[in-house]
Amino acid sequence: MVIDLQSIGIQARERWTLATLAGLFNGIGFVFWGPISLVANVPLLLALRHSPSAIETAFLGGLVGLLGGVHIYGIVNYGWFLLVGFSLYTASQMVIYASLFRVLNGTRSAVLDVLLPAGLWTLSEWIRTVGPVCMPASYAGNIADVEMLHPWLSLAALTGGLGVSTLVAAIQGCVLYGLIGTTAQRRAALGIFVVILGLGIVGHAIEPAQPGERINVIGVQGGLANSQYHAAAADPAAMREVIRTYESLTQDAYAESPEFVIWPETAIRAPVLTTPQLRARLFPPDGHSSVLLAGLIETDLKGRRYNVMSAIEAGDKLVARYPKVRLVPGTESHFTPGPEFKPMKTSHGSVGALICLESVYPDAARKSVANGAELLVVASNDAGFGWSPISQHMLNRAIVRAVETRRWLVRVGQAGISTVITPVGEMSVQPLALFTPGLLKAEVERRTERTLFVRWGDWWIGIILVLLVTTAFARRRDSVPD
Amino acid sequence: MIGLWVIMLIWISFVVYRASVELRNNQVVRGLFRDYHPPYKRADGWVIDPSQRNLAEELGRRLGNRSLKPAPNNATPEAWLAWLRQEGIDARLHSGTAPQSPHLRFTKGALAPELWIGRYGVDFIVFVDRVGVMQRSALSKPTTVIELLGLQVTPW
Repeated sequence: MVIDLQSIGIQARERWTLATLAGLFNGIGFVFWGPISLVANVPLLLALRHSPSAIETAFLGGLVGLLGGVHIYGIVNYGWFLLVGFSLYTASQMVIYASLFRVLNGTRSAVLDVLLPAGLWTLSEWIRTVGPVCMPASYAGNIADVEMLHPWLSLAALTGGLGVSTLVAAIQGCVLYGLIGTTAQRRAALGIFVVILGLGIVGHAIEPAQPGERINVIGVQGGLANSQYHAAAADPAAMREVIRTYESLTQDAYAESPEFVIWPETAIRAPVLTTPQLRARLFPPDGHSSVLLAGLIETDLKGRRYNVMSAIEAGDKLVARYPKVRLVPGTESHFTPGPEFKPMKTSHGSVGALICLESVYPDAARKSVANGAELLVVASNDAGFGWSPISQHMLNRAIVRAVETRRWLVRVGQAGISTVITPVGEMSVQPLALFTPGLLKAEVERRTERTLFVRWGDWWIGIILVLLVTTAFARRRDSVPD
Repeated sequence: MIGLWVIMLIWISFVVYRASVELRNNQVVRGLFRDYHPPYKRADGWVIDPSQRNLAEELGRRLGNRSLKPAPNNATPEAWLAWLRQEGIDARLHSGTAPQSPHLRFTKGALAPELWIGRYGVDFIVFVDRVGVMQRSALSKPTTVIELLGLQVTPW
């Protein structure tokens, strides 16, 4: 059976089928298998070429976003409204993508035609990173755990993950016009594809700057489910067990005298900082060299609660604290946000903490490193995701943060996934399994390199905007939509 | 197109099935010192910390992991009181409104007393023999209460 790709999407039922397929591809790429992102929107683009109305175009895009968004089902334990909100948010991103494609598609330049999907995806992905209620979702994160694609991921040190997402979306344009383009468009697609391949060589050649001082870190993974914390809040005997778990593991960590002992987010939900008996049992002993980076809940004198990472040194010294800046909408509304992404200065160096969801935001890590962080720590509690693949999804985003900033990144999850990521995005140790108590031991480096992305921020979106404006001016008169 | 829809529907079904399994959180978590079973709902409330421990074992756990002799089966409150005192647990029969501190509560028809642990907001936290720690919105009126004077467990 020969399929005429030029005419595919002429019928309405074909367009809706293609949009559904694109939605599932995007969802699979977000959660299950990142490489499918390289072709994820191709079915949608095939459909959009024949969409007769702006309203249908918007609905087709919205369907893609909705289907992609619901694949992040792991967040539903934190509230159905989060899954619905995230899916609608993703749908709105794709409405913008689809609608702009309809408006800008068809230029006098084959190169601009092929690059348009990449420009539009990059713009819509960037929009998801700005504003007070933003939730990033990046193609760069989708491919972060695919080692074969790491040469391209390395480019994130220059452009941020956004630039890597552009390349992924550019492949979609190459595939689209490779399938249905005119001779000129096919030639352009091939040329762009070759350039993308060449960029992989560039990425491979980008080496992190000189290594810094090597230090030892130990992450403490309690491996508890959220239900244990609920039981601990209700029953003092259960709280004792949570404390005993973290005490036992932490004391084992101190015995090895690492520079840092790192807890996950809200490891112990008791007033540790204001309880002398707990401090005596949990904090570094007098004269000990380790610094404890403790995920805790802090209440200030005015009764405001903060989700914090506290840096504690021997002698009961609280030397620094980082209150979570980006709180999860709804679920963390009882916390007060911190003022800025500022690293914690300790005797073993400056540590940039990212608490849980913050690792998804490019600006969080970038600003922390710009403010002096030599090492990144992600303290997380992904227990609510259960055994869903969303924990891996979150880890992938952290990989992009490490590469963007060329920092070693220690991810410590309360229930997992705990691991250490190198500045080139590789895992340097075997991760601890989900819901398994244990210690994550690794050697990392303190680094002071400031990548182009750290220095210039989202400069890449400026290039994309120039591309899109150029595309708008280069549109063919006969491409005006209905 | 039909073939494509079949494949897509199979995938959607797979994701829905996977989500239902993964998010049910009904796997046992092997903690450092004990296994944790997932919570579940009963007609009389939520079992927030399921366990197969009997009341004697639970009391021993709350007294610093002491090993206690087996408690009396189907016994009267007086027999329980004698057993508690034998094990060195300071206890006394309580009259009047139930205390707001740990106590054993005997209810009509129950084979073993429940251990009243505390309050969690407006809910009650009790330990039920061979069920585990429960969170209940209401408690039935006890026939007898034995106050446990030495069992105030602090959270640390």
